[in-house]
Amino acid sequence: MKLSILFILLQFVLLQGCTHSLHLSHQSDFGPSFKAYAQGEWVKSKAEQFVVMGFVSDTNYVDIAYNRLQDECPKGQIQGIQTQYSTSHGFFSWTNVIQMQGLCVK
Amino acid sequence: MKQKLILSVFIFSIFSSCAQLHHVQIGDIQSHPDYVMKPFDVKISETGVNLQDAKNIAQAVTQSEETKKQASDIAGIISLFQMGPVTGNPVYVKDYAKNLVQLIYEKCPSGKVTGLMSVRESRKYPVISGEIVKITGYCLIPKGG
Repeated sequence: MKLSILFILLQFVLLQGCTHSLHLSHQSDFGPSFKAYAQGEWVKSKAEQFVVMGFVSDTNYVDIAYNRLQDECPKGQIQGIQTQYSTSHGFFSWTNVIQMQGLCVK
Repeated sequence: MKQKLILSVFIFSIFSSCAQLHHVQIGDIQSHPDYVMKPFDVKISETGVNLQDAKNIAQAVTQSEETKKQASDIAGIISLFQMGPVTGNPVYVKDYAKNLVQLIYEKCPSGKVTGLMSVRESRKYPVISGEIVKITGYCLIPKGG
């Protein structure tokens, strides 16, 4: 009896962490600039949407991430953009996350 | 008899797996007469956990009705802390695929990369799964270089 409670408590401790789910990871083209890693500057952007009990906020968070990435490289071209769409799970709520990163070539 | 059955189930569990495709997308394909297209692929995988499977197995291996109920209660409580949309099984590592671009540059340091295909898939096993992001493409290498 005591052992089973210990086993269940152990399961609870091991499994009750914050979980995440990656829905999509897309890699864009490297052309037309086709530059090496050292020939550019690495730029990143991120935007989030908090959802509680199914009610959403920040419905333009994808546009925000996109605009932030452009702002990071105002006078250049961005090649090899990686876009990730994921969700961080929580208690009756979750956060949708868009992350973009790429090589800014000037 | 019972031991043989458990052994069979165990062996079946170890060797059975399913692959599930969630998303695939392909980019531009460019070729050049002065370059050779060398194929490459990079892959990042993280372990996902299926709470429902864990609960079902915990209930299957115990005879006690009380323990079965406790396992169900625990799974229910944990799932309250893991609410939200999922693709494949949830993982405990955030941003596990963030270094994919660096891996592409390791395979093709010149950056002359084309024909990229992004694949998001899962390899499912009992309780756990491999949550995979895979990129395949071609590195353009100068002829004779």
